[in-house]
Amino acid sequence: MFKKVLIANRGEIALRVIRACKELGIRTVAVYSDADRWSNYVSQAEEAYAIGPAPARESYLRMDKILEIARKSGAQAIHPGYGFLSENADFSEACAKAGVKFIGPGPATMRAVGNKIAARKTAQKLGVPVVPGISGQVDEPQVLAFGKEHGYPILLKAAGGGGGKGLRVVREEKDVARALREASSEAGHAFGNSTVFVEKYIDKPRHVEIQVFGDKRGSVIHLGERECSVQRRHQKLVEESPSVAVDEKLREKMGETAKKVVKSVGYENAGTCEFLLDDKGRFYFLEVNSRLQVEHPVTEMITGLDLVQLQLAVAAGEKLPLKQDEVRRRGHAIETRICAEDPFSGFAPATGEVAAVRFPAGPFVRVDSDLRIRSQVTVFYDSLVAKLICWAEDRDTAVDRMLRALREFKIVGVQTTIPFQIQLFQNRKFRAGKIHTHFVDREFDFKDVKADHHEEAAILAAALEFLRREQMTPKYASPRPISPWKMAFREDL
Amino acid sequence: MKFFAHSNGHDFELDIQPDRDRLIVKLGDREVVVAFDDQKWSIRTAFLGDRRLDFGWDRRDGVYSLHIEGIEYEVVVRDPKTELLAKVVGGGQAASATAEVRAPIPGLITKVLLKAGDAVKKDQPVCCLDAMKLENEISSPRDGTVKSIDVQPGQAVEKGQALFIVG
Repeated sequence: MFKKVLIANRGEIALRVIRACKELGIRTVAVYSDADRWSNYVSQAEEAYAIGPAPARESYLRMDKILEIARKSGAQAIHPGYGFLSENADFSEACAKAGVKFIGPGPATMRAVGNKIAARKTAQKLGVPVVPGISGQVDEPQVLAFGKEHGYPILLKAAGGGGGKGLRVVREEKDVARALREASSEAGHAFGNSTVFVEKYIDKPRHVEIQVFGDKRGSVIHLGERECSVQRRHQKLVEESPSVAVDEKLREKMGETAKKVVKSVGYENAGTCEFLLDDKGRFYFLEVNSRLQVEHPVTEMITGLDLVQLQLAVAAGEKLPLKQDEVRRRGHAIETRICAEDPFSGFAPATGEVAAVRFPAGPFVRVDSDLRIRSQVTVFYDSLVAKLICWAEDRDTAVDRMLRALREFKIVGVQTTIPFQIQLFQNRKFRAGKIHTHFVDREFDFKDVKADHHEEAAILAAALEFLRREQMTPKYASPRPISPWKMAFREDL
Repeated sequence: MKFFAHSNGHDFELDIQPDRDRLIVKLGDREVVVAFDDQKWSIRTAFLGDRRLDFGWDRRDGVYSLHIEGIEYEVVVRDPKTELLAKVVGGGQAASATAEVRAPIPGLITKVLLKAGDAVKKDQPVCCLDAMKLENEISSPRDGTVKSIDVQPGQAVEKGQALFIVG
């Protein structure tokens, strides 16, 4: 095993990796930008080095500086966390050249899965289902033929794509001509490129992904699925395992498919195979994420495995400590991402200083967060400030536990998404498991409960101001008797 | 003692009198008995009548942040003298002829959708601010006319920097 590991990341994931290392007796090296100097993870690491100004491209994305610190500190391996350099094949290659082990797949594997179109082709070659589509300019006869072959609804989308512009869902054959004209002209106006592609439209898909792990000897196992259908504008909000839509048979099938995909590219270390799942139990391959996922704790909670420690072991050349049939799953785990965003004003990023934090606790509740009192939430990085993970024997109990923990959670001074999540976990459709990737955007109605407490806020603020002024008033002018204890305390001030 | 409190467009007039270890707060024709714990920290407990509140608070530049049930409230508290002054100067929450909209967060202006002289409705987006990988629409706080736009696309802005004025 390694003696010293550098963590090329920040925040909660840096802390997560540091914790895994400490338990294994590995020394840790943190790196930090100017904005993170006083962060919790920096103080938890055995060594810490500055790598530059706050913007990520001048700090956490600087491969040269990170490799220089690895050399200087004598770190034998680099854990990239998620985001930043974690899926950068050039960095994996640079590490190999510098003689430092990159904790993740090698550069060739990362390149093979990093390109979405290439990955899709690889999957097709292996006979893995992908969402049927034609990735090239299509005309009306082609679209009609496509509709006949794969059935309606179909989706027309602009090559330049984005923001819902140039997108048309066609439900019937007779609407094809008009939709094609509209999509193409809209795309031309919006992106200066009127090329339109066609693909099969999956109405209310679920996002289900399979966690895989490979070692140097070519063994690959899967650790079951995570369902991440609750998303807002393609950002995952809630992840859980097991998925209500996946039974043992489907899990086996999806797991074996995921293993087949990653085996074909000689996969080593942790990875995730993402699929869309339709309401008939058919699944379609999307992509492979060649890194540790934000939502990995969900899998840890139900398998009892520490995925980061598994990553370290595999990277150090050890073989996977368990075989596929030794993977045990128990109960239900849910994670929710608490972000510094204001749900009462369109999820605008919230920034500022955290005046106080109180993490929830109690049985089967886990918080992964780098927050502490006086932490600064800045615009330089991701808005994720904490992950709350709850485990229980079944989904209903886990959701109740989540609600309990969310109500205990206090992050004072910066608005977070907690009020949104409290409503979400009470939602009837969510509780019934009737979720899909458009659930939050189309079916969930967030109530603006902010209006409920303005009066209480005003009373509290005015009362606190009254007490503050009273304390400033000279003692002889005080209208009420003051206890000698308070007097003594004030004199100390 | 009289106070005026302003919480995001909600205005309150309160009268506070001490009563042993409690405060009697008069709000219109209502009376609320308020009792605080004696914690000095940012997370405290108070009773508002029978309702127990676990709340967080902070005070910065004279503005109170209250944290109630996961929601942040910014409350400006003034005594009658400063309230009068604020009204005369025309700033703050007191009614004024124009509203200046400032950047809520630092970021990059990506789009300016209106120009000076354009009519604007409440909540209509006026410009877009890119921050934390997200595009944020900055909307008009009221119906009126755009008096001036002080930024252009591609411009980096600081938190609190003036973006536009609606009158």
